[in-house]
Amino acid sequence: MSDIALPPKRREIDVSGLPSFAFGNRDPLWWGVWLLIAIEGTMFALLVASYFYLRASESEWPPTGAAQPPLWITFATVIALLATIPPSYYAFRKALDGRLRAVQIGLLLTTILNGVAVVTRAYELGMIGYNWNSHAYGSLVWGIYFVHTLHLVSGLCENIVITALLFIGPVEKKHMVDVRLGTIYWWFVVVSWVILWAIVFGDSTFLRNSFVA
Amino acid sequence: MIPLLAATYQSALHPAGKYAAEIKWLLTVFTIVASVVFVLTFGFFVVSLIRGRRNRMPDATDETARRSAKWVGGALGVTIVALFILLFASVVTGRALSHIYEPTERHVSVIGHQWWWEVSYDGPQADQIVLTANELHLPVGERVIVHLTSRDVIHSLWIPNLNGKRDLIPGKESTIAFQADKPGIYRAQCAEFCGMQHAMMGLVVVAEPKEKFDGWLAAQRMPSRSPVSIDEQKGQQIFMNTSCAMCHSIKGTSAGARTGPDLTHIGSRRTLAAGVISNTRGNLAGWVADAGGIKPGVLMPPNSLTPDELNALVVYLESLK
Amino acid sequence: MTDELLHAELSRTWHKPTGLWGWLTDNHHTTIGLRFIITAFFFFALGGVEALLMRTQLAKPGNTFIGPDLYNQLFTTHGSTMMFLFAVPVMEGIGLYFVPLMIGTRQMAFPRLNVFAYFSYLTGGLLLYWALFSNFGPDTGWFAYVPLSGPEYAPGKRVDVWAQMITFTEMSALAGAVNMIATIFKNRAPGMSLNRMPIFVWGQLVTAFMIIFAMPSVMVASSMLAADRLVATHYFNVAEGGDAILWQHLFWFFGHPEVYIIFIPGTAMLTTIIVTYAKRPVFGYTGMVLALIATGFVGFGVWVHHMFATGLPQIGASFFTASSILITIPTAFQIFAWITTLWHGKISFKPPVGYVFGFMFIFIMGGLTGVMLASVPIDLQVHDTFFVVAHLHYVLIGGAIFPLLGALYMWYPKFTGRLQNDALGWTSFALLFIGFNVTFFPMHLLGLLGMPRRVYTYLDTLGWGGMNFVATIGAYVMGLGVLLYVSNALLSLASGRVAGNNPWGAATLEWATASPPPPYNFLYLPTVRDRYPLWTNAPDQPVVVGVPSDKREILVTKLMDAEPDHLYETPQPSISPFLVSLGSAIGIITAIFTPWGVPLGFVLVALAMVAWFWPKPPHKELLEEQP
Repeated sequence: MSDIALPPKRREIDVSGLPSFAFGNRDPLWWGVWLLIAIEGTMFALLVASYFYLRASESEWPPTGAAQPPLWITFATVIALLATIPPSYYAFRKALDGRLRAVQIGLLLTTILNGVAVVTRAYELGMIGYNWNSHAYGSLVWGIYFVHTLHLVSGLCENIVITALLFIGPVEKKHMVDVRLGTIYWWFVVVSWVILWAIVFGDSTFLRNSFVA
Repeated sequence: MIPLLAATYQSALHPAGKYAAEIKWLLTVFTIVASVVFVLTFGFFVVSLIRGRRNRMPDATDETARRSAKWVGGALGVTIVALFILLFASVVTGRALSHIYEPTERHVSVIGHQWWWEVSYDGPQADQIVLTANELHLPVGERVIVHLTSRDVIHSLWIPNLNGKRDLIPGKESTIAFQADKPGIYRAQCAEFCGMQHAMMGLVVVAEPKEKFDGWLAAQRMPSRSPVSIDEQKGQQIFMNTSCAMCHSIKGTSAGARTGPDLTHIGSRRTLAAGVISNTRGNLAGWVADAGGIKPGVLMPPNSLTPDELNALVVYLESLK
Repeated sequence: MTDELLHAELSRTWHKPTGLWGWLTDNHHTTIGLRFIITAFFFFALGGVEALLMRTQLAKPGNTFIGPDLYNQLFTTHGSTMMFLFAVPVMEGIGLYFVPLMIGTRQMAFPRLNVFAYFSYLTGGLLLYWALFSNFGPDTGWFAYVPLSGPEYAPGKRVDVWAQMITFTEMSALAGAVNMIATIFKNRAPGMSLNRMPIFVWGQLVTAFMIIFAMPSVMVASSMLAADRLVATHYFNVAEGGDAILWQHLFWFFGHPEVYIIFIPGTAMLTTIIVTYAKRPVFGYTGMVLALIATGFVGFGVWVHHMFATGLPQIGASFFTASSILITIPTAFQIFAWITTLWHGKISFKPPVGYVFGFMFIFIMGGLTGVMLASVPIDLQVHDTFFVVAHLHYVLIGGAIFPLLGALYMWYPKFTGRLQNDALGWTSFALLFIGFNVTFFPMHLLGLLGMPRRVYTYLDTLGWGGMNFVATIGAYVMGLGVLLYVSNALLSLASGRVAGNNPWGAATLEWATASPPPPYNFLYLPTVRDRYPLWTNAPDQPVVVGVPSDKREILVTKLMDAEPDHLYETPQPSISPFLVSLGSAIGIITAIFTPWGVPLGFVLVALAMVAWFWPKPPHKELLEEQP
């Protein structure tokens, strides 16, 4: 043991009584999730920046003949996504006190509504009246849809797995931290779509052909 | 034998026009300031090494830190002042150079292709538009605005003796202006990587007195010279009946394709293959027979003409003065 | 428990698995860090050979040693290798190895994410070289400008390989950055508040944040390019409303911060070298930290200076001129602070100090040519010429590679337990320094004399032959210097003098443990009370006890003041991160050929992720309520 440099007699700080997990920004994984959100948020922001960059040099936007999916179907997805917020917030709150039954209910509802959003999203994609290879506008809108749908489906996988874990067990106290982190990420998926949806369909509904080159 | 001294006809350090001269002035200012900064900073660094080696003890007292802070603050102040001087000089030159875009009579278009330059001068009538390739003629002492675009990928037109560079971007038109003050022959080369033969995409720039320039332009406006000798006539037939006419045009004949360079006055040009080889009979024959042998990857396919046919074709092309 | 028993138990708990299985599963930060460094140097050697081949081709005008097709593949691969496969990963590897040691912990925050990052990186690198050796290496430059790299002008799969190499290496860098930030924020030794972190750790932190916000840009760009090529989207297709300049914005919004992602760790290493060999605290610690942060921010505001020749409105161009000139101020401060530190230090002249000399000479010159390039009129002359080739190598080799080589020399005893031969160390430094300047100084002139970049040959009438010949000789001298550097490192493995824990009398915590460090890093987690613990810690400085030694537990501390907060069990070796990399590799490489690679990769990754995260026994504290 001669290669340990620290002197033999020293004061000690005993940390054996510290807890084995913590909520919020005390937890390293909380930082992991927020940094992931920062990365993907940057990606979405760059997609939106590309959208406006290309828009600025076009004289028609969206191009004539580019038929948008009906607004009601896009609303359906948005509403399904927003409807997940109360149950997921319920789970988020109750996880703090380790109330498993409540968390199970909250996450189950979230997962079901997430599934509904995936179904309405599938219809939405089927009703877009142009393709990704029709024009640059089509590429952008499909690109935004593609990236977000990837998030929507990964969110569904994640929600199913966490919910299943909570029903199968055994459930550790630390899993309540994971529930809260999963919920934070899910809210990012919801909020990012509300923003992207507002930009894409707000533009094509209210600002059609304005501010063009 | 490797030449040790660089030629001066493709060089930013040998300006032949006022814009390049202004940039060279700015470059000189920057170089002088940068050299002074370098000598001072590196000098202090070397002294610090010598002192640091002699010191018996590291000195990290608060008193030392306070004294050092004054030095560092002073050095930082000098740096900031120097940077603002440079920024100012740069903006002043930039503004002076922006005058080059004021309207003028003289316009030329340059279109980039993989890997050659299409050059055209407007004429009073449609059939008097001059279409040539890889050779840009400029009247001395006159400002000329050059309109740039590309048919394929991004290229960049750079005539270092006359001005900085400007990209040729497909789907966009950009402009740059030149003013040659010294007559002479200069060379330009594509500066934006554009594929296999980016290295061999040269452009000859001929700056000549106005009368000479006008004479050249008038000659280029003429349709092509009709073949006279037997060989020339045979050459023209070969041109029209083989693949040549599928890509090239010769004004005054039925050949009107725009894929490759216009050949109406090819005999009058100084170089072939975009400023790569000089325009001699041998080089022309070699180029026509197997362009890819000279510029691997070039889009012009090899030809399978007999020696006689090739000879006639070259004689005809050479006659197109 | 006695120290001996504790050592025995920690060694068992933190045992490094061996063999192939161990290689695929081990997640020690030292193992992964070292692996990153060695792999990066392997790619550095390949990139160096490419450089020598190119210099040989350019040694005389009209040379036919290498044709245009191969030359274009070589310069593309050289640039891509040095940026994506060498510079970023090697800096990351050094961070992975030393940050946990410097902040006094036993492991990164997310050890398995590290494993994933490594295999992603390795796959990306192998993909690129598989393509090059099979003669379908990318050939449109490391910047891959559209439309040259688009479906119309670059048929075949060369550019797709490039785009997916980007995907792999960026995933790796992003994973590494997330890990680095969480580790630095949460795993510091008690007492190491943010303002007591070593400058090196600050450098890694700022770099990691830059990666988080810069790398998504190139991923978006390369994904759009791949989509344009694979499923005929029109992001960059002018005919259908796309725009070629969009590519340049996205690429350089990443590409210029990338330079600082390489340079900031370099300067942070330089500070470490100077403090170690001048034996005194760095002058102006707070200023140094602020300089790094300022560089990180302004680094995002200069990208357009790569695009002056596309023709921008003058107001916009002036803004980017100003920001590009102003970014020199924080670096100037750092240089003055280093000079001051040396001035009042007691320098021991070891080869790393040679690299400090090399940095000062080369980097200052590179920085000054950078100021020239910030000026629009000058830039329009020298942009895309050999002047820029000279500038970028002065900045990157001087600003990052010289500090890197010096720092590795300094840390070599920590990696291996042995010292290198100083005479060989000085000789290899001299060869590198002389070779570098002989190679790259003439290129400034070549650029001004009209020689554009990325040319496979040039006409002899232009008279560039002499200076090119000199540059080629210099390149071989540099190559010799690298060989000697590596030989010294390899020879010293067996024959170097035994170093002990702290051969240089340095101040930071990595020197407080054995060389090489035991798998658990510290027998007792240390605490600190200021920035230079090994110089100023009290003789009875407290140590941390009570971290369970039968599990891989680490201490999590609070963000600002690093007070002990909770204990966190890090995972045992596991195959799942490798399986996730494998799944994503299958998906991404399939996507070179068919869009179905995307769903395929998605499913494989999702399955592997479930295996990764599904809790395995023994279960820890259970919730009172159970299903």
